[in-house]
Amino acid sequence: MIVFRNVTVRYDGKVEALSRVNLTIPDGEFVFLVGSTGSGKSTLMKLLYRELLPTEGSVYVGDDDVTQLEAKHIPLLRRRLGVVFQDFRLLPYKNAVENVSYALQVIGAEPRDIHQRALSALGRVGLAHRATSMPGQLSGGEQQRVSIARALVNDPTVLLADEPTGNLDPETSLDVIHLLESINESGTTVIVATHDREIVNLLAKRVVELDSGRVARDAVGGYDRQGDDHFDAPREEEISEPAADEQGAGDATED
Amino acid sequence: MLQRTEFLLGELLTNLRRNGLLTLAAVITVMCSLVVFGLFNLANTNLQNILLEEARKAQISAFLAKDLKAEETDKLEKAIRALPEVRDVAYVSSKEAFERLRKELDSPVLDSLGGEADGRLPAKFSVTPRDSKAIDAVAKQLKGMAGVTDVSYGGQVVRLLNDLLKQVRLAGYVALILLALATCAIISNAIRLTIYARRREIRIMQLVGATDWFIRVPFMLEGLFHGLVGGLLAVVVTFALYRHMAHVAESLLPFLRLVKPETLLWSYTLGLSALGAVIGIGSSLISMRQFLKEA
Ligand SMILES: Nc1ncnc2c1ncn2[C@@H]1O[C@H](COP(=O)(O)OP(=O)(O)OP(=O)(O)O)[C@@H](O)[C@H]1O
Ligand SMILES: [Mg+2]
Repeated sequence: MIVFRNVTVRYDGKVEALSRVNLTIPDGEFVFLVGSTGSGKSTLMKLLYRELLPTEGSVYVGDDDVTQLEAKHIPLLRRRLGVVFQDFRLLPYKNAVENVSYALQVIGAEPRDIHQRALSALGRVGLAHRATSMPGQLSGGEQQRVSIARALVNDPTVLLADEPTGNLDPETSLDVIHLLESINESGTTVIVATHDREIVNLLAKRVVELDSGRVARDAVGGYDRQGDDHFDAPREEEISEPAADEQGAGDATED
Repeated sequence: MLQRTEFLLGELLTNLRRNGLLTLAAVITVMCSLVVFGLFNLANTNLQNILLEEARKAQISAFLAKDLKAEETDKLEKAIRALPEVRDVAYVSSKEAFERLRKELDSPVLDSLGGEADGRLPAKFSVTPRDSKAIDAVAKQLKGMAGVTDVSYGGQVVRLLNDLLKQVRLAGYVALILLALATCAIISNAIRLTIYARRREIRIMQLVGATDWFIRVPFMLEGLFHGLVGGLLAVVVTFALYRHMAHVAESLLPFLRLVKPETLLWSYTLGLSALGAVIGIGSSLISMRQFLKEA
């Protein structure tokens, strides 16, 4: 379970990237995180893998309040999480399976198992046949799959994807999202930050919308395709804590 | 374990190859610094040796009055022996004094003087102090004794050497500190460049949960490499220079006995490479600390 409790993030003591965010994500859920640029999506993600400490509030991943984590325990937190980015972040001089292996090598995994585990992670993303291809020889979608395999190889309980389809064409994007969906179906909690309305609308998943650092909406269902920033799809099912919702709704009407 | 070591060594080689020229610069800087330090140290060792030799030789000549009777001479000897800071006393007769002088000077002029010179030199006591530092005090006491006309000793030489030794030692330490700082600056800059070149790898390592120590190891190895290789090269250069300088010095000053290079080689190999290793690892930790803090 992931819980944000009254989380506020102020960069440099000024820019308020998140304002009193309350959010609960049960284990095994699939959540889209949406909102216009600068609304705080990446900031929220960074809190989870302790790239960032909130100015106020607590963030729980499982039983741990990650804001209270000692520096030396941060690596252990990150081993329970998989993180995927828009720009893939593969090492260009390593082939697909080496890129995936790298994630195991640097956490001191048993060397004998590394190659096999990396291959099977590539298998999960449907790239077993491209194991020895270099990133430069792979399409954008394939590179993103390799980066997802790298995030998966250590069997994380949570997969965080920050705009994983940002560099991909619509068709490839859909493939990647379906891959994330199938990973979710095998029990991993998946959180996807995205701008891609079409994809969000296509999948009936929980959608958390951020607006200027506040939770503006938290419901199952997609965007309305007419408005750009406005959002008026029906609330089918309230999921998060009532307090968070009230606050989000109140703020949304202010704009 | 073997495979893990292999992985780390692979990372090290990649790092070294990535900034080849800077690796070279770092290694050469370490080498130069340690050569300078090594030469200072050799100078120090030799001066100390010479000083010890001189101090061991340091004797006071107490010249006796010509008309001193045998029993008075015996009494004087007992009195000198009783001084707490005196280790040894030897009587040198006028004849012996002349013989010694003749041997030392090896001059036909003295030979031509023959027996005539006999008796012109006063008899004396050669007094050896327990500690070369006490030489002044002992000389003063001897001068005050009845039957002693004059006192002479090589105190100046010892004092001069002592002062020189202090200066050399001080200069050596100051040089070591300054050079170590300069070396640290250059190595940590080289490693900062490596870190910059490998920031992608470091970011990935951090994201997938590598510990800070694991991330540091390849960079520490790189610093260690700079330090060790620089240190070993420094040993080679230092001893090549020393051998040459010792040769020149000994042919100019035949009485000079310098410490043989062979006897110092191992301790210097150990000392200089250890010093290089410490400087190398220290510098890499400094630059890593900055980076891991920023990240
Ligand atoms: N390191 C930082 N220092 C200062 N301000 C920052 C920093 N990172 C983000 N911000 C600000 O915080 C706010 C939220 O940024 P964030 O990156 O979380 O938005 P986002 O929703 O991910 O945007 P995008 O969709 O463009 O990725 C923005 O106003 C941004 O300018
Ligand atoms: Mg973002």
